[in-house]
Amino acid sequence: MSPEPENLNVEVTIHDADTAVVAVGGELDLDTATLLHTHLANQIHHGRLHLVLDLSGLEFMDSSGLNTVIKATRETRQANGNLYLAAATPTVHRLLEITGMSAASPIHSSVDDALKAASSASASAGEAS
Amino acid sequence: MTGGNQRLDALAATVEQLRSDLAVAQESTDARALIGIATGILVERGHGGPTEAAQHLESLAEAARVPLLELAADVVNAASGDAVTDITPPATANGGPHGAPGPVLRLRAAEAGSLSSDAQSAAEALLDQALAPLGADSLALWAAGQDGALVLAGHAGFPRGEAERWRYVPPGVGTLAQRVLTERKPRWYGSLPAGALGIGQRGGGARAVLPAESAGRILGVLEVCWPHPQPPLTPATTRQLDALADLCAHTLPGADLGGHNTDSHPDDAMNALGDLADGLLDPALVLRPLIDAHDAVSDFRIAHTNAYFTDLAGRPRSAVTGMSLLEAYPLTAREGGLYEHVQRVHATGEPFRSERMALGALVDDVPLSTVASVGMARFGDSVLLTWRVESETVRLAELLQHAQRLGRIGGFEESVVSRQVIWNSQLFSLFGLPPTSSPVPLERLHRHAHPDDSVAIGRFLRTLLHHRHSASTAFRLQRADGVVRHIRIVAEPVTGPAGQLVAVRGAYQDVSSQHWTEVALAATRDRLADSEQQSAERNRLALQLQQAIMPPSPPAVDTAGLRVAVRYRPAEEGHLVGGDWYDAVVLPSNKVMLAVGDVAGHGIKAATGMVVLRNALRGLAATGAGPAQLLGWLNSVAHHLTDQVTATAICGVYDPETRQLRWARAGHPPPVLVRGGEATALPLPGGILLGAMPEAPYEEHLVTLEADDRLLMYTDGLIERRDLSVQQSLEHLLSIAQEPAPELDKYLDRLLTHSRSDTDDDTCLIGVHLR
Repeated sequence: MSPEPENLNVEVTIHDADTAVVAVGGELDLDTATLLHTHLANQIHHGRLHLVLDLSGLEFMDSSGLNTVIKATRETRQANGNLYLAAATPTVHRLLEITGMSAASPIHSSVDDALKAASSASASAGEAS
Repeated sequence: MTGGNQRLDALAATVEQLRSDLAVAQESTDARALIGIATGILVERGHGGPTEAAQHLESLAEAARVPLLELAADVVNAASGDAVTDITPPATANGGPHGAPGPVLRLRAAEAGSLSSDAQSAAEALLDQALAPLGADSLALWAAGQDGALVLAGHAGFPRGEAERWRYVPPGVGTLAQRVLTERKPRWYGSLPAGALGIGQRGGGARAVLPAESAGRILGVLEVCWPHPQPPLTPATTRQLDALADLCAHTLPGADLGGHNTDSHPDDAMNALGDLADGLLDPALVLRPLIDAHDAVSDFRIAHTNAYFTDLAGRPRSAVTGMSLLEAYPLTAREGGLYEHVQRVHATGEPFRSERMALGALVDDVPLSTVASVGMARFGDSVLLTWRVESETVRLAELLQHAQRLGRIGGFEESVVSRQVIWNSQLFSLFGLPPTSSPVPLERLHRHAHPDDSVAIGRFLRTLLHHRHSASTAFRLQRADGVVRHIRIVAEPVTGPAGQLVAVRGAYQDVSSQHWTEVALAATRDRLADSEQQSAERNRLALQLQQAIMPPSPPAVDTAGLRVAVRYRPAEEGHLVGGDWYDAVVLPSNKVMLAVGDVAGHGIKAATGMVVLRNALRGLAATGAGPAQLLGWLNSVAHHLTDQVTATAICGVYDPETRQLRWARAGHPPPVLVRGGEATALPLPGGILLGAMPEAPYEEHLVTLEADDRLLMYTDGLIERRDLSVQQSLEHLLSIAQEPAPELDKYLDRLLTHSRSDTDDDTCLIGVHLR
């Protein structure tokens, strides 16, 4: 069972010092979940606590992929950041709905919306600190 | 079958042996008889007593430097004014039913030499010298063409113009001569039948029609006419006429005047035919007749085979070439078989063609029958035989049959439409059933298998019936007689023109001995590869864990009108064990708790997570709390597990008194309710998957079950597909869930079989039926 990274494309765009947009395309499953988690953990490690996950190119997600999202959400929240889900395709959107994820972590209709939410959260967090 | 063919084979060999023994004996008897007659003639002519006459004969032979036998023949010839009439006594003297054709024919060959080799003069001479004394007034000598046509080669005694009209008789006219050519038997008409066709018919009278044979080949036909009806022929006359006809054969085209040695043909002709065979694109054999002492064809030698020739029994070409036809293919001697046709083509020169002919070959005493289109034609005195095996599939089917017996394989075919199941006899014995019992349909196969193998069988059926792919699996067959065999089943779907499933066919193979070999090999391999063993063991541990908790075929719950059946299908072999679980338990309150869950991930971590969550839920349920509360607690359990597993789950508590099912879910796909033939997914109460958040609220829904309702809970292994959204997969599930089904267990089997998931995930399915 060798990983097939080509099934999942991950592109990371640094938005500002503590925000990154991670765009995923392809299939997020048992074989590719670790790859995504590596990218997300790397961003968190470099202090980017607000991560926008651009799901517009993601065709499929299974429970392993979902677990990665949950794990990253938990990790960013522990560091007073957050993971923002954006632009989910209907398939992925439905999955997030059924699993109740959308209730715990709202899905933003676009990356821009998610970035706005991130910057306001970042600002309020800044005020609070 | 085998026995019959062996007998045939043995019979052929015995007959051959007897034939050659007899030939030797006959030859010497004939020779002695001939010398005896010659001696008698010399005695009669005043050469002293028998002893002196015999000595005289010997000295004559020495002086003439010819073999004694030949001289004896010359003496007999010279002595007989009417050679043919006088030839008959030796035959009579020998007393055998067939007379002594050997020396008779030899003499005739000599006689033919004294006659003109021209058929016309021969015909005239015959009428004058031999037939007129018998009362005949005309004769026709026909030469047989390749295609059954007749050419008038010689004639005598017919009115002017009659011969001219009958110079050529095209094939299929049906004259008496042509009939004889086809039947290869002489015919005697004491008075000519009305409407008979042929030369000289206006005269009426009697007629003898005889094949003119040389070295087993019919070269033509002799037709002898009497002006008036005749009494039946005496045996002596019959023999005489036969002899005359054969004598005539020597004057016909294609006759081998060189004698009876068929090998005396120039090699050129053989080579030319060989070249012709080599130029054909189908397997071709050149057959040369083997002539026995009676000038009859006893067999054919496979003188040449072309490059396309493949032996029906798989022997190398070189091994078959040079063998005799019956030796190589004893089964062709069957009545109506190839050998008979070769013989006939050789005798009549009429080409033969058959679109479908069974060619038999023995492979290690096992008869192997092949259907082929066959063609043959005579060239000179050889026969060119070509065949084309009807189709590879037919041949393979035959081979399969052959292999089935040897490999202890039982074949079956099951119609999806008519539900008819056909087994071959081998399969009945494989199952330890009498051939008269009814075959076991695939659907009920699991009842004959070890309970632990029903999962594998279920997966096999799913691949076969739903995905319509060829499938195979191994299982332990528990025979009615208590014997356990390891069986491998291989099957393929048969689809109709529109791609619909029409039937399933396949084979069962008893792999018991093979199985234990594999087990032993696997054990050895495991010992050799330590790390591999460890991972295998981990996986096995996980599997054992899972199976310990959830046996593949669990007892169904049946309480208070509520029937609950469950199915668990583990992930594909070779894949890691998943973390799906189900539970159906009657609580102390007499309520029934139903749950399915799916721990994310695979392997031992998922399996232990599953064990923890399942047992925790059971324990928590004993408190009598509602399902939402139970899931809230379970979420905390999941979140606080060191490995931070996440899981989805549905938890329902059914109260038989109110028929109410309270249920909640944690990120799990919705249950399906089938009511009145319609399947709907229940609306989703809110609830995040277990373990994602430290604390999570869960909503609770209430559904009141009605009589005959069916409720399905499942894990996403049942519906997950990469090319369809969850919604679409769910809709497919709904469509198959609402198809009527008589019985809950069967219904669940069908759902598992026809679910459209394409992942190798494990799957749990709970079905609830309220009566």
